[in-house]
Amino acid sequence: MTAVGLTLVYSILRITNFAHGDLVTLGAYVALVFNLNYGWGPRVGIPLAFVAGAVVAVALEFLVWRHMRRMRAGPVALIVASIGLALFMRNFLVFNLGAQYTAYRVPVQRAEPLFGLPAQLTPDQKFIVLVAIGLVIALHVLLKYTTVGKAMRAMSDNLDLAWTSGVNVDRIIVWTWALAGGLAAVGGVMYGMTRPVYPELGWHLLLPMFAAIILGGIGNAYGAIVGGMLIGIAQELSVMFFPAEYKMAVGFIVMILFLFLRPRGLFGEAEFS
Amino acid sequence: MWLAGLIAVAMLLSACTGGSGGGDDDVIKIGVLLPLTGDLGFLGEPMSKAAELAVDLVNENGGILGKQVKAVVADSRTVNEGAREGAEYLINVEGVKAIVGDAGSGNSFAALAVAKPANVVMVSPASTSPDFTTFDDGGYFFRTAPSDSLQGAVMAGLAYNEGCREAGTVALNNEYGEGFKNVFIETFQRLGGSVVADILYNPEGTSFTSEVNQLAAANPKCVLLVAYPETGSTILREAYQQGTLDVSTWLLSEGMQSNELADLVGKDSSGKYIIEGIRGTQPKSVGVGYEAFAAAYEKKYGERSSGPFDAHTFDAALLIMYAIQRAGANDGAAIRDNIQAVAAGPGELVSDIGTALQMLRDGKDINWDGASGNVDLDDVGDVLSDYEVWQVGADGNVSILYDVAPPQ
Repeated sequence: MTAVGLTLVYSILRITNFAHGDLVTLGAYVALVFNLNYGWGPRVGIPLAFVAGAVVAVALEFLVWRHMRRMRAGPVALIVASIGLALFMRNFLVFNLGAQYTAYRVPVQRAEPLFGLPAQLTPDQKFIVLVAIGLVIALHVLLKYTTVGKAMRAMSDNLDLAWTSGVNVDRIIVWTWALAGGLAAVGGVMYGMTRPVYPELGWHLLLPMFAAIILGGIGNAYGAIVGGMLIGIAQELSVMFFPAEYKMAVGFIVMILFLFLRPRGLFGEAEFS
Repeated sequence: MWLAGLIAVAMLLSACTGGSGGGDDDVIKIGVLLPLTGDLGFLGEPMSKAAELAVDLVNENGGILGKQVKAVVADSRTVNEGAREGAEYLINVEGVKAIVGDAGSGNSFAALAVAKPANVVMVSPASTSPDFTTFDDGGYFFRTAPSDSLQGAVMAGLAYNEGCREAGTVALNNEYGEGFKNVFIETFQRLGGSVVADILYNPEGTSFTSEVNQLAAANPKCVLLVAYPETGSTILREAYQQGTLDVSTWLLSEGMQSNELADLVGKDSSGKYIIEGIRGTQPKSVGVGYEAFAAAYEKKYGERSSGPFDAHTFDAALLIMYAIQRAGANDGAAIRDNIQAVAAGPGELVSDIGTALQMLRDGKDINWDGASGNVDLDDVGDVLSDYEVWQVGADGNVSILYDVAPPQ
């Protein structure tokens, strides 16, 4: 889910955004603050986090990225800027909310069998799955049927062509950031519903996110979703065959094997140049 | 990679601007390398306070070699790169000859790789991996925290004596987790029990459902969990969700001993802490000097010492300073050769800092009896210790139940 924003930003803006993980962290903390202060559950926190993530991502567009683009910053400068932003955001959270681990103060739920299958999920996990499916459908509708979505896809195919065709590039970029930031923040809340929340949370998620988008084909939103699911499922199922300590390695081996067979990723399109 | 580089540069810059200020010849610097952030940050913060307290008390009693002592603190961030960078900073920039630290065993190994070739002494107050006992450290590594070779055995004895014959282990995949559970398995099998699940988990994983399911499938009567709170709490929570927590007796390593743990795991729908009543073991951390240490800590910081390794850190810093005084010079090899003498030497048993320093100045030998225990270090730098059982109470806080000895 969080990987979608990363791949959108990459394909439309050509930014490898290392600060993306910290937008995830931000989302988790927004829900946490409301949870600790007002006792609101993380489910309520999801829309709040979406708004907060979108607002912060758009603010950064106006404060940082727009200027970088005007100055025609190269890819390395953009990466360095994103790492700087990542450090800033993380330490801003540490400074204001502390570096310790914490968790949402909600009752822990028991897992229940799902449709009589041995797979067991807690109500919260089912809720996460449903929200994720809902967001994927919404994203599909947005990209496929709305003007904004079509413009986004046009820009990711060919920025100059889209621009000359009359696409309002700056406006679409703002939409892209809002979507990427919002989805990242929602992903953060979902993550926090199953694990402790801490400032490096999103940073630690960056590697699997990059793996998911590379597997799915860089720049393809659907690829990021499928790639993320493939890696996750491969990791969990591998425990049946290998010791659990190799779980992480299995995810990456799957990625490497896939890229051998299909170097441009699952849904990636061949590069024309 | 990028990040580590940037941080290293930033650290060097801040070190340059900070270090050029004062006349450094007037003070003796000792390094404190502990995790102030990251997984073990909750342990490292009170530990670094305990080290600074030791330095303050020595200074109040006239310092060592006629000079005042200054503690230089570096954050190892609970990662091996952080430990290595911190050690490089302390040794190369600050010029320390002895370091209190690190906490995590893997982190200490990383720092030792820098300290040993530089002839700098390390006294770790919390690294408990059995691997240090046999590691060729050139004599430069000591610890005031006891090796897990004993704690793993204590755990195995505890589980076996309570009637458990089929045990499962879930351990962090690092030096600490692996060393700990290997000793547990060895001892448990020697006593006559069988180990039905032996799971190492990677802390970078995003979900532990499959590990917990694997454990549940083996149906152990008791489970040893060797972990730190961040990932350990997730495993406990998933074990509760899948029902595994209720059907077996869980025992936790001392890395999980924290008042925060109960909140991290969470409460059930009736508002009761899920892990209420869960037990674990830890090295006994109360010696004859503990009351004096605890009082001084509370006086200086306005709060009670809460971490399981605070007293060990206090003693580690003191041993270094005593060794410098006894050696007559702030020199790595000389400190190394004098640590065992002040910790377990032939001298008189002392537990008062002022007395100890005065005796050393008069050329007499001491045998330090510290805040964390008798701190008698053996020839390989390991401390001998007793163990105790702790339990999570209804309020989520940890209390000490009773002492426990390793099985024969």
